[in-house]
Amino acid sequence: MPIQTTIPKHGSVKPRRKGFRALFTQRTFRRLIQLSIAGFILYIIIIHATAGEGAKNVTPSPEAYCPFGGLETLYKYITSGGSFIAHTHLSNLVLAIAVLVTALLLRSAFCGWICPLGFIQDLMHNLSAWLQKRSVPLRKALRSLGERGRRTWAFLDKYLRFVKYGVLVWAVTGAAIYGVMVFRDYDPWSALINITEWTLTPGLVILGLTVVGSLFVERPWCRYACPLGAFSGLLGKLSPIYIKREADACTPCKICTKTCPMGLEVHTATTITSVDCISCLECVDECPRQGAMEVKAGIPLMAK
Amino acid sequence: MKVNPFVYGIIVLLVFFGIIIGFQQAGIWSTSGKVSGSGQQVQPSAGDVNSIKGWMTLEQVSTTFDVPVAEILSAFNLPADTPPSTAVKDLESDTFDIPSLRTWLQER
Repeated sequence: MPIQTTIPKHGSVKPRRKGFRALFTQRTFRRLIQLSIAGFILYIIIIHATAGEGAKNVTPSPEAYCPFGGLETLYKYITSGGSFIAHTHLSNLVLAIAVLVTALLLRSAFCGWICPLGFIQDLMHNLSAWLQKRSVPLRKALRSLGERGRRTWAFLDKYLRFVKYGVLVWAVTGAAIYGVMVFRDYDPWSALINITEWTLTPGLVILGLTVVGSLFVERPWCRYACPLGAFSGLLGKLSPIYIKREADACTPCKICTKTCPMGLEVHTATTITSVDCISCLECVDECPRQGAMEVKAGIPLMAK
Repeated sequence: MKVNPFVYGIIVLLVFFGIIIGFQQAGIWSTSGKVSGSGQQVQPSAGDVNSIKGWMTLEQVSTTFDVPVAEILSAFNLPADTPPSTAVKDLESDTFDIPSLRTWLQER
């Protein structure tokens, strides 16, 4: 698809929001949702760690709120007539169903709007952008690093994105075969919610790499290794929702591509239906042209 | 059909939390092995090793399955001075976990 270099035929410049309206953007709305859910999980972690769980009191473990646990225990639940693998409960199954239905209807909106691990990565990348704005040497160093490794990184990025499907198959089939969560020790989310146990696990190392990596690459865990994102992205292909780029209203600014946290080439696509799209709608929100980027609902698999 | 990004966000919330609330209202929700979906306390059952949950203590397992605590500890190379009030999940290690305890009790 050739990139337009002339004045767009259609659309107009979006009116600039002023005052309170400037604060009330789609991004602010999304961040508030992410913050509320991360706050809830933090509350559960603190309550579980401080109140403990004796024989009588019930303080739910934060692991009970992990949708991926539902996928891991699904086979055991079906084949054993209702029992679960260790560390999972009915709530995990319900959350997995909620992610599944959300993906079928609205693509990977769970990843972009709800997932607290995605939110943490977003925050780290925002911190990196904030630091780069204030430190010219840091900005120059990172830019130079990016320029030098661009080709290698583009090559690696293309293939590393398939890793998450391997993780998905390994975690789900491993749990079905062995009856335990084989992925748990490697799961950065599990390491984070169990951080009060102070145990060094591979998951904690992966969590550290994810947090540090987010300073350089947006959402590295989501892009390359998240099995829940892989599951959600694949199901999302059946969703009636897609993002449409109207070439006639588009300018060659590439803002959509620059703001995409998943590193998708939005400015060259006409419809964004990638399995990696997390439906955060940053591209729609940041696009300076009215009508150039829009969220559309249509017939599943027929978006053009 | 065009969808407003704010409306999209609201639909995401309605769908995701609507499903969770729906299941909760139907009694299909439990965040702990101590209570069933209908809110009743889960008790270990002598005839069913799958009723062993991580929150149960060594003492509860010992009483329910009529196995001395010392025998459980020695079978899994756990310290002999482990208090019987310790929750099973707190003893998990490379040599001990709940599925292996279930298997051991079943075979015994």
